[in-house]
Amino acid sequence: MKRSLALGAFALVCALGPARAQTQCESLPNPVYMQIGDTQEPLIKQLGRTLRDASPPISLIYLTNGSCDNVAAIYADPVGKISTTARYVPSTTENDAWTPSNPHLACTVAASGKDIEVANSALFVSSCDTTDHPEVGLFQGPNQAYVLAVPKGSSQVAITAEEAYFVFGFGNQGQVDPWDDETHLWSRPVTKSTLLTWAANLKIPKEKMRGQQKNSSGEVLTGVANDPVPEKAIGLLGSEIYDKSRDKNVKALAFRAYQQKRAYLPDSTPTAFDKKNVRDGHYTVWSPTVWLTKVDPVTKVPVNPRAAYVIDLILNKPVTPAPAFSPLDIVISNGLVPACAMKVNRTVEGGDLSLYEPQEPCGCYYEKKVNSLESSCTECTVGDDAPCSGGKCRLGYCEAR
Amino acid sequence: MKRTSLLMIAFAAALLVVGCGKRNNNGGEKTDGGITCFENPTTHVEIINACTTAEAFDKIPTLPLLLPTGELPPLP
Repeated sequence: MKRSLALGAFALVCALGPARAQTQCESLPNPVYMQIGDTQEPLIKQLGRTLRDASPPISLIYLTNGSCDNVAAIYADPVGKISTTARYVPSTTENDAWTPSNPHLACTVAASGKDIEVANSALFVSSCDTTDHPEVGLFQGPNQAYVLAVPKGSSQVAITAEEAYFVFGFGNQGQVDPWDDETHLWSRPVTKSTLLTWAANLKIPKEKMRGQQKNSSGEVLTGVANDPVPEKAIGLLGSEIYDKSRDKNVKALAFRAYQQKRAYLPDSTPTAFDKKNVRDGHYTVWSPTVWLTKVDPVTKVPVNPRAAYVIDLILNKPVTPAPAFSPLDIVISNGLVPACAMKVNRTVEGGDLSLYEPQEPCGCYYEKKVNSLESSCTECTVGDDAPCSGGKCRLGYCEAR
Repeated sequence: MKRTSLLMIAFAAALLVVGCGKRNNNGGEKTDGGITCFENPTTHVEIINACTTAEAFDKIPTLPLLLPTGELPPLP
């Protein structure tokens, strides 16, 4: 009997093969530990790949969590830690076939954990926490739109703010056809930017938003795409996730805000990626991404230079060493709108829009990248920052200043 | 008398012409197909209703729970 058990155990071990040691996060070059909203994972994966291949390389090691959880973690004293398996992406040397559309890899964090060095909120931090923390710097980055998505088989193409108020505020009792069944409303928990941004724009308290609360954007995407009653299905998604999923069975609804006369998509057409309506205020459901890191309370200089470097790349600020790639292109290609391309601004979640003129505009460059260059944009070859036609040459185009 | 009447008719006709058609007042409002848009927006309402070449969608929703005043009812 004993011999049989031993032989069986031996066979089992042989079948399973030797245990594969998981990568230790600390072994990755120049790590930066981050906790981000899951709507920002596409950006971080692409930026992470590029930084793994940079000289010197930087490794973005991250977990995803709700924006408000991320804010709480970096505001905490002591600061929150990443103490489980974390995510990272491979370098080209490790896997030259990997692309950001492939899954992330996993690495093991030391048992003692690693302090979170960069936290991300995909909406105004004030929506999560209004307390003052002089030891944490808030660096406002590019903007993300949020959409209401339905299956492609749905006949619906638009929704008004008033309809959405009844759908998500009243649920089964909302009497808004066809979205009158909460089992087909795909929503998120109250710590997630996707829900919080929609709640603010619809003037619904976050705790009163109806629907099936799914922990990840991926679950909402799957839920909407596979809903057995397509006409009744509707879900909340960040545009960074939606834009990467346009080949899936989902489409965004045009949205008509309160006091607005017509409904608009974030983009000028259903097939464009130009975010024209986010930029000029016709599409009102958007929030800034905010990147938080520890700073000197007096000087406000980040205490972690590598974390500061990564944040400055996302914000398209000059960095040393200058990257051999365009961080702005990475931001734009992930469906985010950098501040330099915006024509409107707001200061609170769901707040009124006001006209905005960036100090260093990049509107023409942005339009070129999203294949919607306006006829008013003229190229310039005099070099960046040189005067041109009453403005200044920036990224190859003559901007207003 | 006849001349005065003709002048008055002509004056009234001129007023009619000025009063109709597209207007460009201080807000830069333009009416196109019955929808007003703002050519030079400055306020939030003007911005979200500014004239644009982007594709727009029109909808008249059915809202059984909307209050008679047109306001939204409080949430349950």
